[in-house]
Amino acid sequence: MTQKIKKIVLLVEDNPDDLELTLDAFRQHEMDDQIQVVRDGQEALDCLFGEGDYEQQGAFCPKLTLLDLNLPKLSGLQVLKRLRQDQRTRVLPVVVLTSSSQEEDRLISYNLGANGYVRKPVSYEAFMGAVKALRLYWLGLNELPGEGIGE
Amino acid sequence: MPKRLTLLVCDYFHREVVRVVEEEKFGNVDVVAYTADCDHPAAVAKTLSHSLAELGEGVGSVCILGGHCLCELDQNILSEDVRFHPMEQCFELFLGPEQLDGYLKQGVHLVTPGMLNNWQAQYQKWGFDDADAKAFFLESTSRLLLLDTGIDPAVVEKLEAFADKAGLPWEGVNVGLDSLRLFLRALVAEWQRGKQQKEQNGMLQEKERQLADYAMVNDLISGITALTDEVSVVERVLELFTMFCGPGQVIYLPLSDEGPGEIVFTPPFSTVDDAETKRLADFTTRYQLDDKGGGFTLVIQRQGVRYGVVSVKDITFPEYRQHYLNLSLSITPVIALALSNARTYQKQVAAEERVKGLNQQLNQKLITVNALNKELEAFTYSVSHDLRAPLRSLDGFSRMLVRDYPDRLDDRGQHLLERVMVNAQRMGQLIDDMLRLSRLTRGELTLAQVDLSQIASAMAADLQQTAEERQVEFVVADGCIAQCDAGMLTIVLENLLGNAFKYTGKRAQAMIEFGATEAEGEATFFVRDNGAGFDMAYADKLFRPFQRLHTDEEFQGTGIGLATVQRIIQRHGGKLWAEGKPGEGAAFYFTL
Repeated sequence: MTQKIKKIVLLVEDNPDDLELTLDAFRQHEMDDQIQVVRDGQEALDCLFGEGDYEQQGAFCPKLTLLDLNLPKLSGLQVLKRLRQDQRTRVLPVVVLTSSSQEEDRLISYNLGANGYVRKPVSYEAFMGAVKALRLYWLGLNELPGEGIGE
Repeated sequence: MPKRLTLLVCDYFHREVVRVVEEEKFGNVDVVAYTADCDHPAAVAKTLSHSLAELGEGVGSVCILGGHCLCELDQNILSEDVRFHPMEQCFELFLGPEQLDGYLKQGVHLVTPGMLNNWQAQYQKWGFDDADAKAFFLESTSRLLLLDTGIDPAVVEKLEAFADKAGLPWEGVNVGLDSLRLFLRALVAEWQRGKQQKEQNGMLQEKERQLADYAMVNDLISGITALTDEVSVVERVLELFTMFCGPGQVIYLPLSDEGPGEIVFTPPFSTVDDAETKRLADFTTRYQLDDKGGGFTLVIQRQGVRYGVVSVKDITFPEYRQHYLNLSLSITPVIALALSNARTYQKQVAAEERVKGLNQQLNQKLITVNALNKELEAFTYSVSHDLRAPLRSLDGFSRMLVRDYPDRLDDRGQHLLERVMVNAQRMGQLIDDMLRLSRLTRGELTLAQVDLSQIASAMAADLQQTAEERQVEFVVADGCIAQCDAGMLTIVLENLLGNAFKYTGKRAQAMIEFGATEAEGEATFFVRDNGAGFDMAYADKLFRPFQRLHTDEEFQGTGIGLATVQRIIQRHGGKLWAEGKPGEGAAFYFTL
């Protein structure tokens, strides 16, 4: 995997259709090559901490992590919990992007320290709108600690 | 109880006593003579023992009359019923003591008509010849004095003959029978009084015994009504009858609507045969004295209800059987009450057990329901998560086709893809509505004073904004306040006002009203419009989920709104109903 283009978003998504739709949405803004994709919870942690298969690449610190909840191996909530327990990823921006509209999921996500909770709309138009809004806010407007004035 | 009085009197006084007893008509007084032997008390004692033996037992009271001749009477023959009347001189029977005393001081020799009757025989007995007699009398007395009672007309001749023999002057004094009469009257009266007193004493003792019985019964029966099980009551009843009747056996057969129960008896080693069991089971009268054996049988009953039969056998004192029976009858209502109490209590305990059992079943069901609810939640979760994802793909990929391959799709192809996308979105909407409805049936109600007018006004403004081109007049009454869950009532108003707004969409001048009224004495809220309305024939379909009265072309919708409203109103314990007319409008009423 070459590092020519800097990845700034981690997309944790196991469903290939949703993955394609999400990437398509980013492609509309010509950002699809800045997306690092992982397919389960364990891989997400490995990627972020630079462990396992990602040892060579070292820790990954994206500007935004889009986290699905219903994932193989470790669930999204478990991933979130581990991230918030670790000093390195304690303030990492994580937005839950899921099909679930369960109040419990929303509540637990925020309690575990999610920065946002976005429900994947059924409508493609709405989905496009959601990705656009996320991009504008998290990759444009939002500032993270340690980001220099020089950017 | 001695009823007769026998007077034992020596033959010197016998005839007079008989005469007075006859004249006085005492009726229950007999007179028996014994042979006089004034100077030989031992002989008299022997004679009297003999006489008493001859009279035999059960003769009644006996009173022996006599003077010093009775001094050697065997005390053993005396008793409560056999006594002697103590006198200094037997002549007191005929003469007052003072008068008698006067004569005796003069040294006279007193004789009675009875003495003169056989003085010759007496002489012979004594072995006196004429000379001896004269010498004897001269030595001891100055003259003869006859106490003439008038009983013997020939007494004077007899006296003359006797005086001649004794060589003494004689004199007669007419004493009549008055003294004797008074004496006997007093004697008999005293006996009567004694007899009465004895009877009274007996009655008193009887009463005391009865009182003791009652006290004992009272003791045994106290607290019996507080016993809570029939076995204990029956034990106490058996003990009670055993204690105060002293019977050979007590049997108890319980009775109830279900017929006779298990027979119980005491003492434990005794037996009851089948015939007796059957007799008790078939016992129909209140009570009965047994033909033999000195017992009785009675029914324990109260207010017409028969609780059991008690049979008491071989009472120790059969002569008191009636008394025992009366006492038993007087306490049967209390025993019946105790049995009734015990049975009621046991029924209650059984009922409580049943309730406990039902509660357990209910708890079990609740656990099952909770488990089902959990399952339902899991199902809901999977619906929300798993069903929506493919829909998103359907819509998304169709959209991408339209977007990325416009040159390869003709108008019809694009139209068909459009249909796919619309339906995918519609199904997404249905799933969302379904989830919302299911969530409403769970979740807790948070009750508070809620200003419905305020919610309705805000909602009206929102609705107006969505279609500014429309002419809609909202009339919202002020001060519609209700105790309810604010969030849920917001959903209710959202649906009802939203519907009204939707179904008035084809009206040039739409009118939507929210207010309060009263129906059957209950505060009732309503949302009324002049929209499309509906046919009352289909009113029952209105509130069923996914049931619609209009096509999607006419008015869009999933048919879940009113079902949701219904669910919320039901959860508040209220009622929801609708009135409408096609083309004229609809009104929805609800109470909380």
